[in-house]
Amino acid sequence: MTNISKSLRVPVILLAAFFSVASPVSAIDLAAVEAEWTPPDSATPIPMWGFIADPGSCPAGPVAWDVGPLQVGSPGATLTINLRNCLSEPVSLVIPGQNATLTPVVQGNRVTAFTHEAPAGGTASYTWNNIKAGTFLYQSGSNPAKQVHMGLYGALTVGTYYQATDEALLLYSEIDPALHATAAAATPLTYKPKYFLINGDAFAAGQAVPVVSANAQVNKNLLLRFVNAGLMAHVPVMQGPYMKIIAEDGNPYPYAREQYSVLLAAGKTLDAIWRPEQSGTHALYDRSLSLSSNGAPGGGMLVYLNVQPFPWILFMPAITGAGR
Amino acid sequence: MQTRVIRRALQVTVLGGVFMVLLAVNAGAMIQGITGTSFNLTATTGHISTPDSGSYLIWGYANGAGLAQYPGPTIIVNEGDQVQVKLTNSLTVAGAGPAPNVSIVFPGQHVVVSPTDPGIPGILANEAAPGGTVTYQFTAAKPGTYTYYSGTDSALQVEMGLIGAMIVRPASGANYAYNHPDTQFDRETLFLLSEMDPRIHQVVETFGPDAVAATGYLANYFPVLWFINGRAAPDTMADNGVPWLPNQPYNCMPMMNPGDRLLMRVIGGGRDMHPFHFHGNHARVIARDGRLLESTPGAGPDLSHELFTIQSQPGSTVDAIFGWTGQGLGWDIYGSPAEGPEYVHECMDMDNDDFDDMTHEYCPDHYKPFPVTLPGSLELTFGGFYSGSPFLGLVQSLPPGEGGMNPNGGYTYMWHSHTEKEMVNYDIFPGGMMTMLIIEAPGVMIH
Amino acid sequence: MTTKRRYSLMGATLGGFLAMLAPLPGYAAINVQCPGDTNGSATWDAGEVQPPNTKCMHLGAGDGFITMADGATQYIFGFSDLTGLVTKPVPPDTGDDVMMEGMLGASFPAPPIMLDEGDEFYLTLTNVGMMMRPDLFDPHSVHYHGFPEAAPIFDGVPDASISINMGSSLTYYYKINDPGTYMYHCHVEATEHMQMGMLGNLYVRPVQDGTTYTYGGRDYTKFAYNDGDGSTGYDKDYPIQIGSMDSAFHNASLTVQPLPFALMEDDYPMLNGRGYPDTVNPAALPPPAGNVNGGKASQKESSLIEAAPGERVLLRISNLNVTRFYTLATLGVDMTVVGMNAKLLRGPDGKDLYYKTNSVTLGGGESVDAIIEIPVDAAAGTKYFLYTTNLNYLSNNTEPFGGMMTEIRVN
Repeated sequence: MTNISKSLRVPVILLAAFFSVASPVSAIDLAAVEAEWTPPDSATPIPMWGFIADPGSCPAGPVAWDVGPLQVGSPGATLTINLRNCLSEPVSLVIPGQNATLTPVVQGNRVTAFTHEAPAGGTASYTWNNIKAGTFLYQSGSNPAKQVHMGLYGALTVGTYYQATDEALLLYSEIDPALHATAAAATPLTYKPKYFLINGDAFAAGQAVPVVSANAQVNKNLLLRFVNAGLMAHVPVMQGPYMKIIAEDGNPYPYAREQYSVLLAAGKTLDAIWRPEQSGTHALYDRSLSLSSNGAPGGGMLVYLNVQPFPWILFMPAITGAGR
Repeated sequence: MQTRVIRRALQVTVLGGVFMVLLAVNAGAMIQGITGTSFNLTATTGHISTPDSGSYLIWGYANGAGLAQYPGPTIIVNEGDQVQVKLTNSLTVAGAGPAPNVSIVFPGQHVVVSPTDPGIPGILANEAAPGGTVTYQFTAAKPGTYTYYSGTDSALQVEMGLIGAMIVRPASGANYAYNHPDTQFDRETLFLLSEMDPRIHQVVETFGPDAVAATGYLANYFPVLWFINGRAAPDTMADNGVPWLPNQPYNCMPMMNPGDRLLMRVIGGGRDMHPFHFHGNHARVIARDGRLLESTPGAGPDLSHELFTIQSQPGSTVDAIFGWTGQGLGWDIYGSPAEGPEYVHECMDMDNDDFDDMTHEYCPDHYKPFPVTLPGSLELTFGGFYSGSPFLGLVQSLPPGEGGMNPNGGYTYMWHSHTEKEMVNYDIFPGGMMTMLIIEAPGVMIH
Repeated sequence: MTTKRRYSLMGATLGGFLAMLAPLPGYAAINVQCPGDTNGSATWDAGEVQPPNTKCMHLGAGDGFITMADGATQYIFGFSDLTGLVTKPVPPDTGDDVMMEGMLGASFPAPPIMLDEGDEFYLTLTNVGMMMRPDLFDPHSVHYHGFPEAAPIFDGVPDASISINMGSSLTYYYKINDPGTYMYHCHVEATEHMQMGMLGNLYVRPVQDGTTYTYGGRDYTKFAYNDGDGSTGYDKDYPIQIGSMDSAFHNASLTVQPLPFALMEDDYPMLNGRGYPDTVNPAALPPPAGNVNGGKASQKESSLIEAAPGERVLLRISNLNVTRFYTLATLGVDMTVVGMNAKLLRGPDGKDLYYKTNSVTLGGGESVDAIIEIPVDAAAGTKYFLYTTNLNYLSNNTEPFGGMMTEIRVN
């Protein structure tokens, strides 16, 4: 099951065509819900909170947890997200890197939410004008020390890079079961994650290595979109090849950085171009060694990227097309 | 005093028109390692020592039939070499479970396994089964600083010590880091940074690796020991290959003269990030992960920049070039006649670059007096590396029992993790991820 | 407040401490060295002439108390600003002014040091002793972290040179040639003295300041670096020092218990010595409760960032915690990183390496200069945030909605 591509499993909500010109206004509907996640080494599910495509009313019970549905936007568009809150406390939604006027919630002398909230059982709406291209994390802006590690996060991609023929999303996160049992806020000393996930999968020893599906081809550029929804830094490493890191938080670098490893700090997004030279599986793993699953080595943040052989059949028409 | 005489003698030599060839790279200026194109590494067990009298089981790469090393042998090859590394798995473990498979990954290299010794497939690399072998082959296509480590259960095996450094020397020559004149260096030092959670090593030693999972230590990781090149300070400053550290043959003792270019090869060997701070000056970071920071091939390090703390990330490598002259201090590092007649010296700048042509003294500060009065010796606490004088190359008397670790009166600088917690051996300060740079006065030969 | 009982000892300890100091030294002396200053105040009073480009400062090194954002009182080691106190000549009781001010006068962060390129800086450090720890005779030092082309004698590393004993003064000299964001700290028993709080902001303004460059349609006269084109121009600048403390370590120090170096785990994440929401208090925090340090305000540095629409704000971010890396992010507005480790972020031939981002990750001993542009259409009262994305550090020990966070307010 884990080797089924995650990007095929998550519901993809297409906000707008990449080069849409007509009415670049998109509204999508999300719900924050109670959920459950079953770790690879136990039948006992862990209580989670998650974002799902809004079913129109609150689910009767916990749903199977996954990372929030991937959102795809187009540069310059107006993005509206309508949020239904099915949780027992207020929830909000922010997208670091997509700048919008924040309307923080203040209690006493403290901001308790970075922007306005959907009250328990209620709804709220968020709008971003003129969204910029790149890769982004959307997450709860309410009591983030608690709600983000409870699972309220997902990815937003806006536009793509002309250099790339296809792309793969790699969303990193962590789960500390001890904090989920009580839904307590993570504090410096309490947060000790045991499960390390990419795209919602926690690979464990003895299982097949998860495969992230993309139309990766030899000698074609693949865009790797790294997103870290975890509270800790990770260091993705490609085993053998180099990547060209081209942007962070939706901001292109003045010069690409050619590295086989890259620091993916907490909350950070990175865009990297990888041009495979060989077909087959290519391992991408966390060199900060979150390569364990509930303490057992041999699992954790590791995926294979599959590269298809040189696409002779597809390549020929492409030549024809280019010469037309 | 003696060193000052040597300095003057050097100046006289230059004036006399005799050019001393000091450019030849001597062996002591270079990183120690194993050379050639075909290597036999053995994964085996050993014990390392820490200065707090600790002894810990490691799994290390040995050179052939040698002892397990922490880190493994530094593999030094030349650009373009066809490199072959045969790995033999001689690990043995406590407990009921079998010894683990083991492997080597070489990030940044296109590795294939030998058709005649392919080992068995693993997740990140082909592996050697217990008692078995696997042979890796790759072309050292590009010069630079690299690392290697076990790709088998890396969360455990890297922690256990299966890590090492690899250097690919460029076609330009052994005293270049890359194929560009701006990467030339006079001396080089390896800084392979790592940490250790002894609980894991104790569990493996007593109960075997299969017992680690139940402890949760790999997730609840809590290192209390920190190393440079496999040694914790002050062992970092002992010689290479001292007999009392048989499994930790590599020291980390950067030494230079003013004006030298010291290449720092910094490798994140463990799983944590470390802010490696080098006192004395900025260093120019010229490469990362074995790739020159250049805008176009051949441009040289035109995207390089200067740092005073290198952010070392696990599995990554950084090359930086450090230099020091004391430029712009506002006082003469060799003293001035105002301090006494014995401080008379000259600053000879015949090429008008503001520096003495031999000693690299910064001439605009020549004879500027020392700016303050130092407190009396009873008001001060003296460091072991203090020469008794603020001036370079001078040794002056200190109270009995003070100083003594700096016989040539060099300038000494602490180079260390600025996560200062990592400068301890358990609860003993100083220790851990720390060493001292010694800048010896001109004319003082460095071994 | 389990340690409150001890604080009541303070009065008795103070007297005993002074009595103990008095007979100590024929040799120990407060000695402020500052050109043109004759009364040892490290300032130029009436009749005294300040030499050109000369700055002086007198710091005390000792101990004190601060208040954490959850209300807990915490024991610290630290620096105090003694500049302006007359020390010469030294009649029998004058030196005591410095001691009275310095003892239990530690502030966190340490008094900021702001310099200008071209300055000659004379920094006198007087070791006033740790009053709550009369069993300790620790020397102290100042490490000017990042000072280029440093000499060991003024580098503050005790192993490599000298450090100053209790009751005496050491004057450091620095010729300030290089603008940028540095930091300073005591380097004696660095793990302990830095965990205990001997940390402060230090930055150097460039000679380009005072000239005018137009950048992005706006005129600037203040710059992070000598950029030659105004690209580091700013309207407001804020030093932001990342820090964190392990309360168990501090309590062990106060109660003279063995210090758990390797077991350190910081539980109070802070910016400029305060956890949120104290970070946004624009004023000095009130003195710690219970008169534990003689009523001295010990946390004077706010982290509240205020700017008008269209203004550029320079954040001088440094990190001097001793246990881990932190990622510091903006929400609602981007940062442009223009400097790193007190160097303009350009290649050797001038290639511009500035980059935009929403977060920077710093370990101890790293610094970054980042510029925020407040949108021209931002409404007054708008808030943006500067906070750690290591979200578990958004707490003051166990108290939620706190920790390493501050606000950027549009005025």
